[in-house]
This record gives sequence, structure tokens and C-alpha cells, in this order.
Amino acid sequence: MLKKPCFNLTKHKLEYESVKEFSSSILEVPLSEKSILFFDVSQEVEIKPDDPLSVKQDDLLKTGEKFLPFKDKSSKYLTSSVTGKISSINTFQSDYGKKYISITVNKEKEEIVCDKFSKKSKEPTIANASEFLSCIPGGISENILSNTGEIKTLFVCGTDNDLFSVTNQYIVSSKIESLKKGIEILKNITGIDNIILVVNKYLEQTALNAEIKTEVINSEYPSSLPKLIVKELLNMELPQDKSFIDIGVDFISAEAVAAITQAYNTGKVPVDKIITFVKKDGYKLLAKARIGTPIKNLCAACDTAIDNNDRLIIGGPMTGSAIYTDDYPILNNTDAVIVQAADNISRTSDYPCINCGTCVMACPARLSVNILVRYLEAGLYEIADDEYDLSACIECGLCSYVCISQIPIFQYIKLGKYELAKIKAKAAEEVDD
Amino acid sequence: MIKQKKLIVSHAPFIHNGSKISIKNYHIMLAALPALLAGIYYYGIQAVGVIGLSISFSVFWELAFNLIAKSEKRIGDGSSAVIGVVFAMMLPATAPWWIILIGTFVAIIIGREIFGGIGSNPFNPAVLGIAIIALSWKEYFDFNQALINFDMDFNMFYPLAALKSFGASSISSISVFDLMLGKQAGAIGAVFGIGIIIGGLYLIAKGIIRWEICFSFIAGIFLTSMTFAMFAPTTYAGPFFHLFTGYTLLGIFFLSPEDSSSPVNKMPMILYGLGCGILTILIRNIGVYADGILYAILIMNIINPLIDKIKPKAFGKV
Repeated sequence: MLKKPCFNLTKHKLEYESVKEFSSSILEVPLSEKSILFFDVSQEVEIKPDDPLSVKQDDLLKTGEKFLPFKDKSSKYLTSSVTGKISSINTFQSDYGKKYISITVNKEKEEIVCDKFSKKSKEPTIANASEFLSCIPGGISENILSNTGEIKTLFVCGTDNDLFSVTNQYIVSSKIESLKKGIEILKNITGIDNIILVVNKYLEQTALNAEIKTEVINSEYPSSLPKLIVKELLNMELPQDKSFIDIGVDFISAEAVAAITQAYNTGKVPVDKIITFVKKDGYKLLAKARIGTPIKNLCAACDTAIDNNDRLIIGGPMTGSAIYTDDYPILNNTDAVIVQAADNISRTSDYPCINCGTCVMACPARLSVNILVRYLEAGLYEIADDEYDLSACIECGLCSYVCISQIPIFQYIKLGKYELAKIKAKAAEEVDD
Repeated sequence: MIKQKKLIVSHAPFIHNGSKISIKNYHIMLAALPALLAGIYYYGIQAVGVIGLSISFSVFWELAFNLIAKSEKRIGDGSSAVIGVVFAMMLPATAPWWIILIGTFVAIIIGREIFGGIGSNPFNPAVLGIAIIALSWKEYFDFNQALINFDMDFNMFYPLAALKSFGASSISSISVFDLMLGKQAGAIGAVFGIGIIIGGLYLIAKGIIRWEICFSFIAGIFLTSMTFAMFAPTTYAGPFFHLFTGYTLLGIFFLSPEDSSSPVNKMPMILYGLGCGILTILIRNIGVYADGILYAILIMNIINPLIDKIKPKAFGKV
């Protein structure tokens, strides 16, 4: 999508990685002594910081067992990915106000698989899917599982959101049969008729051979961001005040669909995540690890030592986030892990904007980034939104990628959106009072 | 206490396309070389002196301002040097040192630094510098007078002045090709049209300047000068004459596309270029100045923030 300026012969496009360039073997990361389960509480308004948890230290969890950390307050559950005893429970703060309860589980010698799911899952139904499968690798949205009939079109993403990652492509290329069956199961249990597999040109033939309803999208970044998929395939831009569910669209990753098939085939809740791992020298490989495995174990298995001043990135290079500790676990949506060596890190600068307009050309949302960033630098978030469309940003990160002054524009935008949401929430509160 | 590794934490994206302000500026200087070398070929060592002084004074003024204002020293990025180069291109080879000193002071300090430095200048600094000294010391910018001691193998006179005083018949003997080769009196970097075009196309190919501005500028000049020439062919010159005389090509490829003082959206860029072109010819044909391009660009620089508000509708906006 990085639009090529006319005559511009020197700048290259940003193409997504092709899974075909990867070796077909997949590295199995051994089970670690300690696993960490993250329970996201940032969206749970009912839960207060000092609320007691329903689980406590030394409780035994079985592999695939579901448990509700806050039984009385929230019906959200977690699936344990290992068999072991809870050794500690902490809170973990992440960027932009995200909060997690982190539950550390020490591995037991013998692995016991919880059999509650297999007893209830003779036939796939929406009830047993929503009761057991919301934490599968790849993740599945509540809207799909609550089956309200609002979703008319479901896109199965066989593409990866960000550069470098090939996790979903790997599923399409190696587990196409299981993907096909998963789509059938989803059709049956949710009643959504229009389920479309989205791939880019690398995997078009694979998908067509399997006779799955497929759409091919552009293979240039950021074409596979959800809003741009909708724009390309449904020929509409999601209106700013609407969500995907308002226009009857939802997304699920190919990995999650394959995991659904695996769950009903084996009677076990899937707990293994496929991760694209990028080493310091840029070498990329695919690894399979239990959800909850600390990143440091993944790095060790991939022969990569983490040193001081390195950068450890969860997710892709354009939209991911850098973490401050290698104890951070693999979550069910961690598609890629990138390690950058200390001397290889691109930095931002405090140069002012020189108004060159490269960001304006690169922006797929047609924002006047050059003016927007001036308002954001000054902290004028409301004007930035009213006059320069802050909330229309689709968060691809291209503006920062191309910025000649190396201004952290994307960071300003994310911060601006976060602060704007706080301002709006406060204003709404005052109205209520 | 467990020894925790210290990792670098920063915000996405974690990769960058490697573009740098310094690289961009060095490309602009490279693009100016063909025109400058031709100027040196025509005017000899005096031109080298003017170019050298102009660049060093520009860098000196920025450094001096940085020291006084205790701001970060950024002379290494080459932006002052670029202003110096472009400033020198617009000077006659006979310009005395003190004019260069004052002109670069106006360009760097008044044109840019007091507005907040790089990226904040509302005008093209070099244009502002030249405009002010050309108003203050007219005689040095009368190219016929200034270059009177140069003996060339071609008819040495400043075509725009001839046009202004004696009408289109006085310039009928000049061939466009001679003008393109630089066989005219003029500023160091403005006489060799082919060189400026080569440099400009190089910058467009590199994506450093925008083709929209350059081409609509040319379109503006053609439209206006053709209209004038159609109604009064004996008084007004045709478009090719205007294109290859005075600062026109310099204005198209080096002055008007300057980053900070030109628009970034597509439609505004075209309007801006057209406006520059139309105003240039209007001032040349109706105004008192022989070459109106400096004032055309300065006026469009002022309008730039206004027209740049014409922007496309944002994603998903209803």
C-alpha cells in the first residue's frame, strides 16, 4: 500500500513474507518448568484491583482445564495449557493501560489432560464451543461464539497482519484439510453462511485446490489489516462510528479454525501455538510452543541469547510491541517474536517535521499526517480528532516507517487515541453526574 | 535480587526505511552540480568564490545562531549548505562578499531560524534572502551591468531586461537552444537550462521533489504566457523564452518544491504550482520587475498553508 510516488525508482514496496521461503520443518519448543497464564482484566470493569481470585496458590490445574479467575464477577475463563500447581499470582501492567493477572504454573512430572471437554463434545455445538474454546491458539471473538446472528460474513485470515510473520500462511499451506473441515464446523454451529478464506497470491493455488471459498488480496503491506480487507473485498470503508459487527463482518485467524477442527477431532482443547521467530541476524523460522511458555524458553530453544540492550518484540515489526522482560509468556495471539540486536535497532530522533509529505503519500487512510503530528506533539488531541481525523487512522505504522525526520508518529497517534478515549470517557461521566 | 536483563523498549514500528535528512540534502546538492559547473565554466574562478562563500556563510550563520540560542547543532544535516548552494545559484558571479554575508544572514536567520529552524520556515529561505538583497542593492542584480566585464563568444545580455524594455522584437534573434545552453547573461546557476532540468529530473526520480509542483508550474507558465503572446505577440514573449530565462527553471526545480514552504496534498500541490507559474508571468508581463519569479514563489509560500487545507476525505469518514 506504500504508494509509489511517480517516477520514484528507488523506494521499494513492503511485501508480506511468503511461507514458501521457509523450511518446512517446525521447531518444537520443549515444555518449560514454569508457564505463565495471562488473564486480561483491562476490559473487565466489574473487577477491582483487590478482588479475591477464585484460584489460589498450590491449586492443581490440568492440561486443557478451564477455570474462571473471577467466578463471581466475570464469566471469562482461562484454559490451562499445562498440568501443574499454581506457584504465584501477580498483576502485570502493559502499555496503554492494559492490565493482566499473571498466574504462574509450575509443571508437574506427569501430564494429565482434562476430560471435561471430551465428555461434552461428542458433537460440535455453539454451546460447547463457547464453553471451552474461547482461548484456543489464534483467538476467537466473543461475537462468533455468542452466535447472535449479526455476523453475515466471516473472513478466515490466511494472511498475517504484519510483516515477517507467516503463522497463518503456514496453517493454510500445511493444514488445508483441517482448515476446510473447521470452516464446515463453523458454518454448522454458528449458522454463518458466508465464510471466506482470505489469502494472498502465494497461497491462492493451495486454497483453490482444496475447493474452499477463497478471496485473494494484495500482498503488499498493509493490505491484510482488517479494515483494508473489508475495503478491498467488500468495496466499502468501515465508517468511523461503526464497528465491524455493525456491518455484519467478523474475522477469525486460520490458526483458530484449524484449532477448532483439532479440538473436535481429538477431544482435547488445543494448547500449542505456532510462532514465527526472527533471530538477530534476520533468519526466520517457525516454532511450536505451548501457550504460556516464557519467551526466554522460546529464545533458548531457537539458539538465540538475549543480551542487555537488545529489543524483544511481540507481534510484527510494524504494529507489535517491545517488551521489557523475557519472562513475558506466549499468548494465544502471539504470532511472531522478533529479537533485534542492540546495534541493529532503528531509533527515533527529536528532529522536527520538515513537511516533506512522504507520510501523507504513504498513509492508506488519507490523513494529513504532517499537520496531525503537530497537534499531537502539542497535546491538542481533540482538535487533532475533529479537524485532522485522528480516529480514522488504521494503525499500520507506515508513517513512522517512512519518516525522514524519524519522528515516532505512530506512537504519538496511539497515545493521542488513548488520551482521547480518556477525555471522552471523562466527559461522558460528567454528563452522567 | 534476580539480575534482570535490561531490554530496549520503544514503540512500533521497529524498522525504518533508512531515509535521512542529510542524505536528501546531499542529493539536492548533487542535483545542483551540473548547473553550477556550467556557471563555473562560463564565469570562471569568481563563480567558485561566490559559491564557496555562500555555502560557508550559510553554515556559519546557522552555527552562530545555534551557539547563541544554545540549541542543538545540526549543521551536519546539510540543510544550511543546501540553502547556501541554491542562494549562490541565484547570484551573479560578480556579487561582492558582503552581499553574500548579508543575504545568507537574511536567508538563514530571518528566513528560517527565527521561525523555529528546519521545517518551520514559511518562506523558501534562499528566495527570501535573494529577494531582500535584490530590492536593497538593485545594481548588483542588473545582470547586464554586473557582468559587463565578461567577454564571451556569444551575445552577452540579460534577455528578460531586454524584453521588458524593448518588447518581443528585441529577443527574436535569440534561439531557445542557445538559452538552454546558457548563452545569456544571468546568475551562476540559472543560465544553463539543460543542467537544471537534468538535476530536477534526478530529484523527481529520487522522490525528493514532487512532480506535481514542477509540472503544474510549467503548465502555469505556458498557459499564461501563451495567452499573452496570442493577444499581443509584439509585446510579449512566448512560453519557451520564459521557461529558459531568468530564474524560471531554478524556481521550478529548486525553489518552489522546498519542503517546508510547499504543500503536501495532491490537489494543493497542483494549485500551488499553477499559481507560481501564473504569477511569474503576470509579474514579468505587467509588473515592474523583469523577473517576477521570486515574488511569485514568496506569495505562493504565504498561501501554502491555506490551500494545503484542501485534503482528501479520511478513511471511513462520513
